[in-house]
Amino acid sequence: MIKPVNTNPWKLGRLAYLVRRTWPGFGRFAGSWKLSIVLMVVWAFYSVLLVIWSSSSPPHIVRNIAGLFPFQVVYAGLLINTLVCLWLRLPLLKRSLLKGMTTQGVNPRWSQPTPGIRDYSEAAVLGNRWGYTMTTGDSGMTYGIKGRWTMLGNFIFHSGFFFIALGFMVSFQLRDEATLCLAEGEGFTNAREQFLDRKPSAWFSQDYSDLSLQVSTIVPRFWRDELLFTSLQAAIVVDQGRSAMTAINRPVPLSWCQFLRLSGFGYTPRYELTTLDGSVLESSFLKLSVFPPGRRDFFHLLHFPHRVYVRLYPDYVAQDGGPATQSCELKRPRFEIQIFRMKQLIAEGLLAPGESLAFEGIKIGFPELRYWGEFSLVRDPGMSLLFFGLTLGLIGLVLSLGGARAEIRWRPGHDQSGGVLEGWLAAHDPGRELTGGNL
Amino acid sequence: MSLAFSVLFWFVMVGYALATALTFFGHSLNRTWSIRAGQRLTPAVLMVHTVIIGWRWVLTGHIPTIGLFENALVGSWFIVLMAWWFHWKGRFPLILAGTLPLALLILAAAAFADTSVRPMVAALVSVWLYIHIFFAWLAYGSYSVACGAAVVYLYKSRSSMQPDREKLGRLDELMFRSTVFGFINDAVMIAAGSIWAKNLWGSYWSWDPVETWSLLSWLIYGLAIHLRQTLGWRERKLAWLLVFAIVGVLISFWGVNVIISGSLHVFNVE
Repeated sequence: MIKPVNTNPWKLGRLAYLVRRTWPGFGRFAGSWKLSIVLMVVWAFYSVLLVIWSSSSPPHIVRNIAGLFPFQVVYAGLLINTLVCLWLRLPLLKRSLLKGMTTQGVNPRWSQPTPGIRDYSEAAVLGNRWGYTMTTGDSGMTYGIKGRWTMLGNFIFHSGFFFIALGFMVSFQLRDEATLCLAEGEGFTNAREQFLDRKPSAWFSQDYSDLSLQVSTIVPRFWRDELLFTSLQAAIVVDQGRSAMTAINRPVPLSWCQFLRLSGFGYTPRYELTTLDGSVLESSFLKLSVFPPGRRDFFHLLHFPHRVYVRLYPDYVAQDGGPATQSCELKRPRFEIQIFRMKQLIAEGLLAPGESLAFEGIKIGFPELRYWGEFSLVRDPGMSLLFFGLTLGLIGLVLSLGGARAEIRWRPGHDQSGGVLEGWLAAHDPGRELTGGNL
Repeated sequence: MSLAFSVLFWFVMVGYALATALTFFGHSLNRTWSIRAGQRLTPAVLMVHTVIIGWRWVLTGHIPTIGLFENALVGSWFIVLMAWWFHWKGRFPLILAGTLPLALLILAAAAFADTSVRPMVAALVSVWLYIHIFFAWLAYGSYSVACGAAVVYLYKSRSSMQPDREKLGRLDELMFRSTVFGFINDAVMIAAGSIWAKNLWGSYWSWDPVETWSLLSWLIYGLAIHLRQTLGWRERKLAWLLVFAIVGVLISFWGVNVIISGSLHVFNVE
């Protein structure tokens, strides 16, 4: 055989030639169900490893392991396999959507005489009762089809799966997350101290300078006197004046791929340092980590060398000679403070809002108490792909409920004794179809 | 749990155990009266089961979905209901005997769980919770029926017996169809759970142990469907695969939370 000589000086021609030579083989390999099963088994084993890892490692470690090269290879393999399988099955899909019979020339799987049925209309009634869409063709042949949309549903489901998997891949690469700490009445200024955490994507770092966000109120609700939230909501103002409400599991969408959600809260008292005659020396809001009750936090005074340790009792009650709280609701808040200079305890006391504690010629008090909220800001371009894939998957699943495509045909008999029903069922017992009908 | 509630709860457990025993006894020794007694007892116990779920609902003020006890109570109800449905529609008397033990196992775990009334906490106030849990129990109920059918198939198709091929064929079909139905509901469950996770934790997928195990079980059932459709795995091969696959479901719901405490997927609200 004389091999064709590629005289095309452009490399693209040579490449196209190679692709045309190797595509059938690649297509057969990449679109084979054996490869599907192998990849699914490998992914299942990988998932088992991740399960074992996740039992003893924090989530970010497990995410890093899930993003390792071998997993990405298996993942990419599944994506390619799904795509090629879908492509190769397009001709079968087109055939399965045909309104007419597709099994002409193929021997029926089963046939049954129908002595009680003498004409086409009676056969159509029987077929309709069995769920077939019956048609009488131009030649007088009566046939019925059901499950016409099942293969399409299967196709759409796997397409949805492909988009979901693609969405996860995009999300993994491009997701950007920031955790903000904002108090009631505070607006976002992109200052470093307003960020608790940043997890930029691997490809770019999100710029938040144009984010418009103001926290109006934060409202926690607890169940009885226990440390259980029944509600945690925040009223915010975004986009230069749009009011919104976010809750612990109710994010606020900011754009097609960005959302903001409330993920935690704490207390923000305002401390006031005054002279003994009441002149204010220092005053500032503090975002303290003193929730849940009993937890202790501290802060440094701005112009003095003292360090102040604080505990907050939201609903103060004296118990066993010491302070305690009988609930998490802010009913009777009390600040238990200890003031240190160097490592020496200078003063300590229990203050209600408005009360003050004198030490070394100055006084400290907490005239105001607000909440601060922990807000999670997520930008995830993969979200749209995920939702699209999810929608496709659900549509595909619903369409697949019709069962495999099946065809029946009724032929009249040569005499008046009735006809013959023939069936081309897919993958289930032919006799079963006949048990529900009256023949 | 009040005394009356406890009595009804134990009545349900004993009732299911008795129904299972009667059905097994009847089929093993060919006693029709025993089979009929088991078949009639099951819906009666199921009605009492429904009553205690309604009671719990009124007591807590929300659908009983919080904690291991409530999930077990509702989950076992779904399993028995679906088994009863397939038995009634498909006339598979032994399907109850194959599936009731699973429901019993789940109820037995509930008997050791914390039964105190807990509120619907903020993290669980979401419509996606109800969608997620509803489809979860539809899926697990279907998988349980598939497993029950598989157990019955393996029992009936033993070489020492003279199997009825027509009935075995219908059992094989039941195994496959309930697997497919469970797979579809499982997919919706995972999707709804991912959306809820995005709202609650800011991420669709956190490789949480429960999430990973549920994905693993979904993959195993997907594998079973693919093996059936492409390699023609049917009858005993499929039955063994389905018996093995239910282990993954049990681990993802029970085993992970019992053995591993580091899961975000908290069923017991603390």
